[in-house]
Amino acid sequence: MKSNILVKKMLAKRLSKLLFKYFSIFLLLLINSCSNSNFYEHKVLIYGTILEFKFYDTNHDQANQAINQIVDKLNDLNKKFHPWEKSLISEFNQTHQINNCDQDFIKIIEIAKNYENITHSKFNPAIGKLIEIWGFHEDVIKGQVPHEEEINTILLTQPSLNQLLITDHSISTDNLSLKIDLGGMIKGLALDIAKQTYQDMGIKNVLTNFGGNIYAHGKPDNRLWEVAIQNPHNNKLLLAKLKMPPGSAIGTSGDYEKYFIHNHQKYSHLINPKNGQAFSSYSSATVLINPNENDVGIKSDIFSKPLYFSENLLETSKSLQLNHFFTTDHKNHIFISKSFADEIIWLFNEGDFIVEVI
Amino acid sequence: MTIIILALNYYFQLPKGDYLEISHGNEIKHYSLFQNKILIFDEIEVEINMGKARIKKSNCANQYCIMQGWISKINHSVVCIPNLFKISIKSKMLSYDSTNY
Repeated sequence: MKSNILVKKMLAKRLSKLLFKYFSIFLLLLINSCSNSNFYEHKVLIYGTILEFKFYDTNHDQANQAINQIVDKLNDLNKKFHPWEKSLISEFNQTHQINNCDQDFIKIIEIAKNYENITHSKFNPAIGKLIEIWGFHEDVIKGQVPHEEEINTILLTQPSLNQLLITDHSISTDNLSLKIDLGGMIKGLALDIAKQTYQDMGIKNVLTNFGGNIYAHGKPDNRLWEVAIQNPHNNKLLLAKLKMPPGSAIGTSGDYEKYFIHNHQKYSHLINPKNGQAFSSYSSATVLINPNENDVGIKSDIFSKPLYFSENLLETSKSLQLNHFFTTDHKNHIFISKSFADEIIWLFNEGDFIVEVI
Repeated sequence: MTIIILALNYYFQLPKGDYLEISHGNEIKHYSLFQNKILIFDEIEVEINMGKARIKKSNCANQYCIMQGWISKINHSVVCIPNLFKISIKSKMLSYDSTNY
């Protein structure tokens, strides 16, 4: 009788343990699904570029409202700055004079001019004509290599936004080789527009990715936003991973997104403003802009260009006051700054790249 | 039944992780999963055994954390609430929010 009661007690204990086990698994799953629902992701295709949002702990209506506001502003930017389709800039590029500019338009031209000067014209938004003769001002890239003479004729005029006559409502120039192309900063500008929108709306945590350039606003939960960096030599592989401090932005320029191959030589849409050529000794350049700086988005977009064409990485990074950067070359070397090397996690297979800290 | 089969299928398709994240108080530490090792954190013992991990010993009253057994799939965790202790399976490759290119 006594042993019977003991067996029953043991059985009951086992059953309750088993029930608890399944209950705790159920609870864990529930917690997991709840934490997943704290994220709200949304993707928009805007002028052929993917705009991706990942909100954390944000009301969906508020998130959608922010997305709509940002998309409206970017569509407006497109109408003004598309370099070859119908826009104010393409009108300027034809006539070299436009008189119907609004305040925002002039402000953006002034920002571009300022960064052209900061980078000593290694980012040069006035070389639209060079980009055009390389055939990158078309939706379908034909793969034409321009004659040296054609390149030199443009370079001789030293196109620069400093050659613009800017008034409150108009821009004009005497240099007929000057064509404006803000392609080198528009994605970064879009990120800064997104940042301003989140600040105005009181949105705390969201990761914004516009065509590969990323701005980290706040952070999710008790961790930081984490981003992976694509391998520039194989788009199916990842090169590295890093945690983004709240308010920081990351940008990469490389020869692997928009390019053509002619006589075994790869020509990318990034044109060196100094010599008009469409190739570099580097295959990519990545920069991380720290949160306390202004124009984080714009800088993350623009500053990767002078590094991509740099002949002396230390000198270039010093002149731009850049601490977090790396470049990859065609021989699978990675040249990385000390501060960035301390923070990055490499994901490539052993032997695929050689890392040099500079 | 279909739901159970689908759930099991989903579970077995989950990728395995490659490192263990241990959160102990305010500290977070990472360990490779591909080793045989016993880690001791005050009153808690964690065992790593070639791709899987478990809480092996704990001074907590109910021993619920030990009852969870081994974990090996990405994002699976075992928590010991009284000790504010958590082990999670992570992957270097697969846990990120977005891609820069």
